[in-house]
Amino acid sequence: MATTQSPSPNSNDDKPQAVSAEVVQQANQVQQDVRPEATKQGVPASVFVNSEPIREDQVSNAVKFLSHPKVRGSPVIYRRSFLEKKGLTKEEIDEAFRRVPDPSPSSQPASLSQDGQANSLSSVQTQAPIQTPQPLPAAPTGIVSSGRVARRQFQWYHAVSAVGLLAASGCGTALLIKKVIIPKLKLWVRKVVLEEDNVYAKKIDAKPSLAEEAAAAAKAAAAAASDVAKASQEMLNSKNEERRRFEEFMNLMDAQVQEMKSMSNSIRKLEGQANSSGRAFSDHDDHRASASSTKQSYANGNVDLNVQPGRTSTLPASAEPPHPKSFMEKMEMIQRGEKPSNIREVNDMPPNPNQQLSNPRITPRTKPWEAQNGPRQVLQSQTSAEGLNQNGVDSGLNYLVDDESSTPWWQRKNVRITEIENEDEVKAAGSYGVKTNEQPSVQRTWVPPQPPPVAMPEAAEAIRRPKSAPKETAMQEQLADEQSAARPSEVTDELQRITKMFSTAGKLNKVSSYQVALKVFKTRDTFYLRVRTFQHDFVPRDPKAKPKKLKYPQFYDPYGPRPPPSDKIVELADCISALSPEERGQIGPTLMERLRHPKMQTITVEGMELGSQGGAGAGAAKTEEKKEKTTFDVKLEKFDAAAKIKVIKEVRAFTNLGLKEAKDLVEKAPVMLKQGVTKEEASDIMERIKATGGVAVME
Amino acid sequence: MMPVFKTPFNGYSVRFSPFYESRLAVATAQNFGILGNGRVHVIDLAPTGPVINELVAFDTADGVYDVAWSESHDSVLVAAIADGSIKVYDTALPPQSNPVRSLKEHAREVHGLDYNPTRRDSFLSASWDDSIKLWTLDRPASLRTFREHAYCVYSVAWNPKHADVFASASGDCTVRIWDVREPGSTMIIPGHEHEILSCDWNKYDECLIATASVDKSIKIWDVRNYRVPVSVLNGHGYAVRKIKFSPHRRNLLVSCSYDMTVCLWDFMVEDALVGRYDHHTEFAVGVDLSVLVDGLMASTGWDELVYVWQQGMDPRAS
Repeated sequence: MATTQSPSPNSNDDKPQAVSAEVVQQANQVQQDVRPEATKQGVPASVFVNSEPIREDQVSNAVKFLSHPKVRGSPVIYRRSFLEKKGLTKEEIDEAFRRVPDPSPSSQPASLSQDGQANSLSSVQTQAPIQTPQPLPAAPTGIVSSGRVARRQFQWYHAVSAVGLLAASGCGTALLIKKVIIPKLKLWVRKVVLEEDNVYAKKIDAKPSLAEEAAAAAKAAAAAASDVAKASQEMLNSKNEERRRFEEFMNLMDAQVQEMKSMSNSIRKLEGQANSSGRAFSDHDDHRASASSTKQSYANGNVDLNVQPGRTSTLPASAEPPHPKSFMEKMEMIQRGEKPSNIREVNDMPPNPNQQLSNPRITPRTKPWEAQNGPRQVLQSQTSAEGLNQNGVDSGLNYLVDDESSTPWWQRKNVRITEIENEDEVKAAGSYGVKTNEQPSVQRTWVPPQPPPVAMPEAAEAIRRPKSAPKETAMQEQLADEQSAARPSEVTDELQRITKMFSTAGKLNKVSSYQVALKVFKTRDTFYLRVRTFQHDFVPRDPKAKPKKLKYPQFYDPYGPRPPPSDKIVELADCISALSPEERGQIGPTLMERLRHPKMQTITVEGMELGSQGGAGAGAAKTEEKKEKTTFDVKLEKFDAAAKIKVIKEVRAFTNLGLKEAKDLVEKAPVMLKQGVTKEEASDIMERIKATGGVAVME
Repeated sequence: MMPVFKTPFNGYSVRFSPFYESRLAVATAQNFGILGNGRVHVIDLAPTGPVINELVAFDTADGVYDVAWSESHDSVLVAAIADGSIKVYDTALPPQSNPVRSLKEHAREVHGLDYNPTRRDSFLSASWDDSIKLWTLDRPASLRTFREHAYCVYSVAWNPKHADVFASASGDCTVRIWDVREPGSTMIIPGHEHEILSCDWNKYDECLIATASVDKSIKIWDVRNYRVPVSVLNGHGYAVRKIKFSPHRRNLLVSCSYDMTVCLWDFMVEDALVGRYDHHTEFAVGVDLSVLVDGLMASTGWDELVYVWQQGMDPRAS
C-alpha cells in the first residue's frame, strides 16, 4: 500500500518530500479502487509532512556547522538533533550532510552568527560528553543556558585538575628529595672514604692505628649516614602515622556530620508533617529556602552521581522548582547507595503468559468529536435510563443544594461553564429516542447506488459487520433477520474483495435493508431489474464505519483451482518466456491465426501432441511462405513398386524418419515428403528420387 | 463535595475509562518514582456521595509511570513500568491471573502510553531509550519501533482523526509527527528551547497540536504552518508536566505543572487562562478529562492524592 509505494524520506534527493509524497499518493488514488479512507487520507496525510522547499541559507549554515572540526568528532545523532532544534527540516539536514565532505572553509570573519554557532558548538561538546556517561541532574539539555553552565563546569574542571597537580607535585618533590639527598649522602660518604683511602695511600707508613682510626671514622660516618637515613625514615613513618590519624579523625568528623544531617532531616520531616496539614504560605517558603540551601550542597557534591536522566528534575539551572523535602532526602539516600526501607520484592510477571483476555462486554462508543457535532451517545449499562441529560440541565442550576437528585454527582455541571449551545445539545440528546424515526425518512430521500447485481444479497451480507454499530436501530435488526432468512448462505472471499470497493458499510446496510424489503415483496428477477434502473455512482461514505478487516487468500489466484500443467506445456511456456519481447508480441496474432484455421481447430480440440501441432502449424506457416515463393515443398507422386525399397531408403535419408514411418509415408503416395526447403534442396531431392525410380514434384 | 482518593505511593498518572464514566486508573510509584515498587489502582466513583472506592490494585516491581485504558476491551488496561516493561491487566479476570502480559522490549523506562482512539486496536509506548514502539494486545512483540529522537521520549499522542498519525514529545526539544505507514517521522517541530514533556492533539481540529515544556509555556501549533505557534500560553510558575485537550470543547485544554496547579485554558481567547486549581501540595503530574462526561476532570500528584471534580467546582469542596 502506501508504505511500499511512497519513497522513504531519506532517499529523496532534490525534490521536497511532500511533492513526491503527494504525487505518490495521487497515484495511489488513481491506481487503487476508490476506498474512501484512502482518498481522505491521501490529501490530509500530506498535511503532516513538510511541504516547504529546501532553504539554501539554512543548508549553508548547517554545512558550516558540520564542517567544524570539533563538530565532526561528535556523534551523528547529536549533530542532527542540533540542526533539528534550529528548525531545519529533514531534507535540509540530509542535504547539508551530503554537502559536508566538500571541504568548505570554516574560517569566517567573526560575525554574530559565527559566535553564536561557536558558543553552541562548545556547548554541544560539553553537552555530548555529559549526556553519554553519568549525566548530572542539574545539567540541562537546553543550549541557551548551557553556556553559563559550561563555564561553571570549566572552572570545576580547573579546580579538580589544579588540586591534582598540586598533589602530584608534592609527591614529586618528596620523591626528588629522597632521590637527591640519599645520593648526595652516599657521595659524601664515598668521598670521605676515598679521601681516607687517599690519605691511607699517601701515608703508607702511617700507623695502623691511624688507618684503623680512619676506618673507624669512615664506619662512624657510614653509621651516621645510616642513622640519618633511619631518622628520615622514621620521620616518614611518623608522617604516615600522622596522616592516618588525621584521616581517622576526618572519618569521625564525617560520621558526626552525617549524624547531625540525619537528625536535622528527621527534624525537618517532623516539621514537614506538622506543616502539611496547614498548607500555609510559609510552608512554600520553607520549601524553597531548604531547597535552595540543599541545592547548593547538592551542586557541589554531584560529581559522581549515578542517577539516570529524567528521573530527577529536567530544568534549566535558573528555574529549579521547589522539590518536596522528602524528595531531596530520598535522592540523597539513594546517592549514598542506601536503599529506602519501604521497597519490597514484588513478582509482577504474568502467571500465565498465554492467558486469554476476557471478552469485551461493551461495544466501543464513538468519541464526541467523531459524532460530528451530533448529539452525544445514549449512555448504556452503568447509568439508569431516566433521561439523565435533562436532569443535568435542571440540577446544574442548583448543584449546591440538590443532593438527593438521582443523577450521579459528576453529571452535574456548573452554571458558569454551561453555555447555550450545551443546553441545546442536551435537549437534542433528550430527544434522542426519536432517532429511530429519522432513519426511514433518511432512507427514502437517499437514493441507493447500483450494486453488482449478482452479488447483491451476498455483498450486503458481507459488508454487514458481525458487531452492530451503536447507532443501529431496532428496525434494522428486524430487517436483518428477514434478510438472513431470505438470502443464500454462502459468502466467499472474492465477494468480500469486490464489496470492499463499496465500503459503504452503514449506508449500504440501510440500502440493503430497504432493498431487502423490496425483495420480500417482489420476485428476484424484477428486483434485479429495478436495481439496474438505479444508475447512481455516488456512494456516500458512512462516517462511523469501522474499517473492515478482510481476510485475503494466501495468494492471488484469479483462475481458481486447476490441475498442474503437463511437461509439454511447461516446455512451451519456457520457450515463450525465452523469446524477446517483440517475438512475444507476435505470438498472439500468429496463434490466433493458427487457431482460426479449420484444421487447427479440430486438432486443438482433440488435444494432439505439441510436435504435430507445432509441425502442422509450421507447415501452415511454410505454406503461406511458400505462396510467396521463398520455400518449396517436395511431393512424391508415385514410384515403381520394385523400387519401393530404394525410394524408402532415399526418403529416410532426407526426412530422418524411421523405417516403418518412411514405409508408411511412401505407401501413402502421392504425399508431401519434405516441406520448407530451398529450391536447390528440393530439386536435389527430386533428382535422387528420380534416380531410385520415383516421381517427385516440386511445389 | 468532591471526593479524594489517597494512594500509598506518589501519583504519576490518572486516566478515565472510555467505557465506564465512573472508572479511573491511577499509576503510582514509590519514592517519587526514583526507586521502588509501583502500583496501578482502578478506582470507581460512587454514584451517591463523594466517595471513591478502589476496585482493584496491582503491585509492580518498579514504579508505574503511565497507564492507558484499552479502547476495544472495557476491562483491559496497560501500564508503563519504570523497568522498561509494559504490563497488561484485565480487571475482569481474578487478581491472581493478572498481569495478563508483560511486554519487555524497551531498554529504559517507559514514560508514556497512548491507545489508538479511532482504530482501537493498537497502542504506543514512549520510552527514555529514545524510541517509540507500536503494540497490539494480541501480539507479544512490538509491531514497529520508531527511533529518531536524540533524547528521552516523554509522551506520545495519536491523532484523533487520522488513525495512522501520531506525535511524540521528547527531551531533545522537538516534537515529531509520524505516520505508521512511513518508515520515519514526517515532520519535526522544534517547538521549544527546552525539553518538551507532553503533547496532545486537538480533538476537533486534527491539525492543531499543543506542546508543554520545561520552559513553563504551552504552545499551540498548526502543523500546516509549524514555524510559528498559533498561541503561546504562559502562566505556569514551573515546568508544565502534562496537557490534554478537551474531548468535548474545541478550544479548551487542561494542564498540570510542577507549580502544583492544574490550569484550564481557552487558547482562542486573548486572556487564555480560564481556571486554576491549586489543590495539590506537591507536583501535579497527572491530569485527565473524561471522554464520556463533559467537564469531569481528574488530577494526581506527588502528594499521593487523586482528585476528581467537575469543571468550575472546587476540587477540595466539602
